[in-house]
Formats: sequence, C-alpha cells, structure tokens
Amino acid sequence: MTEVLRPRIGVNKDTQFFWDGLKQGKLLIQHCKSCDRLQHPPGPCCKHCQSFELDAVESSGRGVIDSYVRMHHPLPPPFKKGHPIGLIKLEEGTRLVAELINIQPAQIAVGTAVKVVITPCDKDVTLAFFEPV
Amino acid sequence: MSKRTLSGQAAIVGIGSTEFSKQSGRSEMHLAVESVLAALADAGIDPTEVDGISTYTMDNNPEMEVHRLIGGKSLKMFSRIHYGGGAACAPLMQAAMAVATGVCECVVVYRAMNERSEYRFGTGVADRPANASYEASNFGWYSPHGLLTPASWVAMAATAYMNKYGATSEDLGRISVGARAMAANNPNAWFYQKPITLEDHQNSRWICEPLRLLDCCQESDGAVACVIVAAERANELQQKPVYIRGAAQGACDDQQAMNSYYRDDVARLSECELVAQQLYAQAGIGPKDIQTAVIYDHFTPYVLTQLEEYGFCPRGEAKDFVRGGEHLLSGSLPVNTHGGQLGEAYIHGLNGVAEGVRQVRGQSCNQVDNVEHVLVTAGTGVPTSGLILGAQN
Repeated sequence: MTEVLRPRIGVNKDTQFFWDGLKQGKLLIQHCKSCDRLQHPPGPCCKHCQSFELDAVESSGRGVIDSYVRMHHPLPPPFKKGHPIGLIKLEEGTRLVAELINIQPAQIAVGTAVKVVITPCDKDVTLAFFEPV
Repeated sequence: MSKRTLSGQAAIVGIGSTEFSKQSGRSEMHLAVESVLAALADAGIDPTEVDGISTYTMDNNPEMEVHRLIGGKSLKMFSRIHYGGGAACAPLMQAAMAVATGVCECVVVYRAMNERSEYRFGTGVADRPANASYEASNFGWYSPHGLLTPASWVAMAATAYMNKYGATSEDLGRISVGARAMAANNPNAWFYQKPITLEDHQNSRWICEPLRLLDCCQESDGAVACVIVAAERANELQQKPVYIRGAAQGACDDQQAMNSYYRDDVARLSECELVAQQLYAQAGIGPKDIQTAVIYDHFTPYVLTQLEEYGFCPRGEAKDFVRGGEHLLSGSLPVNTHGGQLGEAYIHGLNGVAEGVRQVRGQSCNQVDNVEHVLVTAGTGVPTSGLILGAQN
C-alpha cells in the first residue's frame, strides 16, 4: 500500500528558513534585527519597520490555543474525522496554525496550554504539531 | 476627505440573470452573455453601446469575449478585481468611477459560473500545486495541517468570535433560518418553498466545527449582470434609477486572504468597518438610514460580525440582534430578502447586488416598505467591498 501524503508545502525564499528549521528540530520565528520585533508568517521585510535585515529566533514551543476547528468534510486522507486544528499563540507573541495531537475533546478549547511536537510526516514534510502541556 | 465625491453620480439601470441551478447545462460563457443581454434589455440599452466591463477574479469569462459576443463595438475600460467574492461590490465602484469621469458611457458588470456542475470551491485546495508563488507558499501555513477549505478558514475565526462574545451554534442557525424563510417566498431561489427550522439547522451535520452544513452557502450554477450609466442618463431610461450613493473597497489591520489570524483581535472584520466608514461618509447617512441590507452570507458567522462592523448593533451583540429576530422580514433590518447565498444561490455576491436594486425599485419578493437606502456587502475574510444603493441621488 502506498503512503498517503499530506498536502505539499509551497516554499519561497522568504519562508525557506522556517521549514529548514523544523527539519533541524527547531520552531523558528522571524526576527527583525532593526526593531527587535517578531513576525509570522515571515516575509521579505519587517512589517513593523520595513527593514530587510531579518534573522530568526527559536521559539520556546510553548503557547495557548487562541482558536480551533474540528474538520469533518471534505477530509482527504490522511486526515481523520473530527481532525483538530488550532490557532496557537506562542509565548513569544506570534500565532501560527497547527494540528493538535494527543488531545482529549475537552482540551480542545480556547486557553488550553500547549507545547510543540516537531513531527516528520514524510521525507519532505516536517510539521510543528502541538499537544497539551 | 476630498470634497469630490462618487456619491450619486452613477446609477444601476438594468439587472439580468439566468436561472439558478446545480446543473446549468450550458457553458459559463453562455451564462455570462445571457445575463448581460438580459440586463441590457431590462435597461433598454442596445448592446452596441457597452463601452466598459468590470468583473472579479475567479470568473472564468474574459471581458473581451463577453464584449465581442454581445456585439459590442468599442471597449474602453475593462477591469477585474481581486479576491473573488470580496470584490462582489467593487466592479460597481469601477463602473461608477468610469461613468462619473466620462471614461465610459455604459458599463456592464457580470459574474457567471458553473460552480456546482463543473468545479466546486467547497472541495478545497488540497490538490493545488506547491510552488514558490506567494499564494502557494501562503497555503503552506494551513494545508499541510488539514485547514483546506473556505469553510475551515472561516470556522477558525468563528470559534474566536463565538468564544469571545458567547454566540452559539443556535445563533448561527438563526441566520440560516432567516435566509431560508426569505428564499421560501422567492421563486428564483433554489430553496423556494423550502423553509427550515432551528432544529433542522441543529441536526445538520458538521462540516468544520463550529460550522454545520446549514451554516454554509450553496454551490450554484448561474449568472447575474448589472448595467451602470451616469445619473443624468439614468433619468431618461425605462427603469427607476437605482443610484450608487456609496461604493468602497477595504483591506487593513494585518489583512490576509481568508486567514487574518495574526491581527490583534481575530474576532474582528476590520476591513468591513473600513468599508462602512467610507460608505456612510459618501452617502451622508448612517446605519439607521438603511431600511434593508444584503449581508454577504457565504458562511453564517460572518453575518453576525458584519452586522456589528457595519454599525447595526454594538460589537458582540449581533447574537442578541438575531435572537430578537431583527434580521427577519418583520424585524428592524430585514437581511437578505432574496434568501441570500444560503437560500437563493451562490453567485459570488452579485445576486445580492441585484436584490438591492429590486428593493429600491420596489420589485423584491420580500419587499420592504419605503426603501430609501440599501446596504450591500461583499465577501468577508478577504479584502472586501460594499455599496449603498439609493432611491434618490
């Protein structure tokens, strides 16, 4: 049986570092060297001060669920019915969308504390999932 | 703000549409031409006079081909506004600007699609190619995690809104029940004579929690077109002129397309407030001067948010507005009297513009008394647009 793969990730020169970071086991957030602020999703310049002098900081991986959904239809494999996806607010202040794992239905709620679980899904795709602390 | 204004300088003088179905049996171009010719006949304007065309993205019918097929002679302005349904009112703004400035004499706006029988928005973006373009890279933040469809993108914002203000699935259901009650009286609606109850809504299956099937608009085949001329000319034509008193677009507050999850308050549709401020300033009126509204209803939660952003109730209180039935035909602001996209058809919002025109003319199936001003909004979650249509200029 062939492995059912997740949707592929479009990557460009502004976002490459994020995906490379995950493959090295790091959840990275784009950081502006000029104004010291963070942004996600990353871009070619800082949305706050328009500087092109950007690098990245490693997130603690801790955050809370700011919002969530449970997906039912349509649900292409490998996703399963009731698939939970969260909008995570990281300790550092930025948000990102991520699959929720190892979580009980009652924990799928705004405010639940979560931590990152960096997960290789297949040879090309490594993702940042989150589970309850 | 500039003293120069677009308000009252242009009018919608013709509307046309095909039937709304799940299987039109003809090409999208056929639907486009049919609706445009119907709108011109409604206006009493010869197709050879059309010198401007505007539509919006996700329509597959090129402007030049529509113009060629209707027998147009000279096309002097053609535009296509981005962000799909969010642009539903924007081509009317383009048309008004074109006739107000003398660039064009007669502009046609259309949206034609076989969005049920030939392709479906609801199936999502799982199969989109992953490349380095902005859009494909942007899907990379969502698709690999399974957030793949318009319903899921809206659901993520809806959870935040409902959690913040205590709105419930039943409140979303009240929007749906209201739309279906309107559609039940509209012979052109797909759900003509098919009202639903709140219980039906609550029993409908989950699509993406917190959205149920009956929180999601239809997928439809069909087309709608409008004809716009300058106000002076409108007075000489056969239909009662429907003046464009306000026309605006909006994008702001860390705007993303369907995923504005990074703004300070994820429960907001700040871009709607930006459109509202422009519309009311242009028209010189406020929300209390609107007798009926067409509120874009691809998904029910954003109807609640829009009621707040457009000033019909305080922030967080749209749930109370719909619990009180204020959005029904008997309420203080009848909403989506054609049945909306939940009840009539999903023609990407242009069918809502046509209903706004009918309300000002006095031709709606659910006619509101003494209509002076109608608000029409466009797709939300994306950069958006809106109109205020008026009986007087």
